[in-house]
Amino acid sequence: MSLAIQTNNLVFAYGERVVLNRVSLSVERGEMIGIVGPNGSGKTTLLKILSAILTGKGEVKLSGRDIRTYKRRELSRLFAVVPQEPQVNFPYTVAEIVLMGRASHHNPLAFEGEMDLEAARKSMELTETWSLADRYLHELSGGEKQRVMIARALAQEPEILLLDEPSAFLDLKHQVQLFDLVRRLNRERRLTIVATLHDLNLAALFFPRIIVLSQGEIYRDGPSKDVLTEETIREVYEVKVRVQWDEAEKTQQIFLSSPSSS
Amino acid sequence: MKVLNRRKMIQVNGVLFLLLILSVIGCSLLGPVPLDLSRAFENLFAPEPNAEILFRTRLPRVLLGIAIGGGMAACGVVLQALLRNPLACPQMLGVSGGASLGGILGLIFFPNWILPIGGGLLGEISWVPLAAFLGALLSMVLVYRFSLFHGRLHPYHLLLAGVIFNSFIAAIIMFLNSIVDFYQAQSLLFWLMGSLSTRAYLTVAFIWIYVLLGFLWLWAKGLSLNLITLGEETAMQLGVEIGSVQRQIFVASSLMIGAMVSVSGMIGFVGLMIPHVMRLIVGSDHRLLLPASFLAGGIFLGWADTLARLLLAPAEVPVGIITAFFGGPFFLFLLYREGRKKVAL
Repeated sequence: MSLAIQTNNLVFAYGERVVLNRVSLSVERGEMIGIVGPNGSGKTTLLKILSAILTGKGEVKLSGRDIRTYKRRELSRLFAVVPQEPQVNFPYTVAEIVLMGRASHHNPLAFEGEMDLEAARKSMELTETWSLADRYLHELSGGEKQRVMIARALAQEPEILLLDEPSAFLDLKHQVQLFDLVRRLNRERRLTIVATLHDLNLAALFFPRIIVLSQGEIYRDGPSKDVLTEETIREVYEVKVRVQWDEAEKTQQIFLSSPSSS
Repeated sequence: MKVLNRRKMIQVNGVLFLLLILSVIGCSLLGPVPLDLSRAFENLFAPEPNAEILFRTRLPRVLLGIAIGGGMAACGVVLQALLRNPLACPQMLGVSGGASLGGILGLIFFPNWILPIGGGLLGEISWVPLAAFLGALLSMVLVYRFSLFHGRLHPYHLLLAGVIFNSFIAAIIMFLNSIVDFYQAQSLLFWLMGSLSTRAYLTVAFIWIYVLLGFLWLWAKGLSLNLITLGEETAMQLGVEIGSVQRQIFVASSLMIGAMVSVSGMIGFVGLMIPHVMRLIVGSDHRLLLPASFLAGGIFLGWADTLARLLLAPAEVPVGIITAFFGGPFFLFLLYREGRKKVAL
């Protein structure tokens, strides 16, 4: 098995404040990993380092090669990032946004070629955004926008897909649809998936491997049934929960209890 | 799926280019004095009144106006993208303030100095625009230094540095204006209001070289500009070497603005309005938006200046008044009609 992502003793600090401390993790090609942890645990920073937005101390390798030796154009063919919420201040159509995923595939002085249009069309069909192609992005609902962001990421034809709390602004139905699509991409296309998540139940339901970050360090790393336990959640999130096995979904689900009761 | 392709590029820019050529002809023919064209063309290089007016007064002025209108509009487009702010315009970069101060110091300290080019054969250049250009270059370096962190130009820092630098310069200009005598104050005010009057083809050529090279430089960054409007991080993730592109855009547009302001003063509104109008008409893809705005800005300023010459002939209205007075309502009309579906704010 070859490694898609490998970090070794990764440290990152904003001035004096250490955000990530000695993070070492390996992600194999074709894995699907959920990163969970409370606010400020370093999830988003880790994702930004993996996508070369921030540079930390320590080693980060993508496909066995040091991340600093990549050009941005190479990186954007290797991995794609789905942002939490798209920030678009200018009136672009959905097709234009998705085609921007092809920017590192074609000559920057030329227009998109047949191959680029084909890749954009396929990724829009896969995410059911093809019918929205000529609409303006800012007219769409939150769920539709999120699907367009995934379509753009797929148009990049990446090997690794990074998602930063992709379901933060979605309702239940769209959350489930989103992760179902991500899982299909992982299974059918062997796409390596790394996502940060707030919702532990969604994490348990869809992600075979879970990494728990706490105060910038990896607290637990393993299959969801071993990681998402009552003790771990109590220690990391400082809340009392009950964890029960759901036979129907073959996964455990987490129940909150209110602090005043019990 | 409607996407930008070569055919649409050629259609839109072809039509605009044709309009631009027609505008050059139309604006040159219109003026307070009626012309006898056959006499003008017969005496192309001779000292004859018709030829003098057409070829040595109106044509250079129209050509200058087109270069400046196009350059301002193109700079407006890229600055709105770079700063990700629809209110950004060429006047905001601080460069224009530096150019104004340089020009005013030139006007106060050596108002009558003339630099003959090629022993006076190629025309003469006043020291005022040279001083202004020097001021533009200095302020460009200053604003750049204050906005650069870790090799990246921060949009908000750039915006704030530019705006505050301009206010600081404005204070100095007001102060100078209050201590010089009445006649000097009058000439300062006129210079600040901006004008396209020129008789020197050398000045016109100087501006065209700056504007055209700068425009081509920016146009080559069209695809990166599209990505930058999505935010810096997204642009990086989609393959843009953000620091380098930001610096190139800043330097190219600053040089253009510096050159333009030093010759014609602050002609406002073109750089703010034309990008929005063209975005409503041709869309937001900078590979098309940039050349289309350049051509449209040239056409618009060409006609605005013609109107400025005609309106109170033989007196002249400052062209900045015309651009704002007629451009403003037109822009609001477009915003009302198209804006509801196309403006994302």
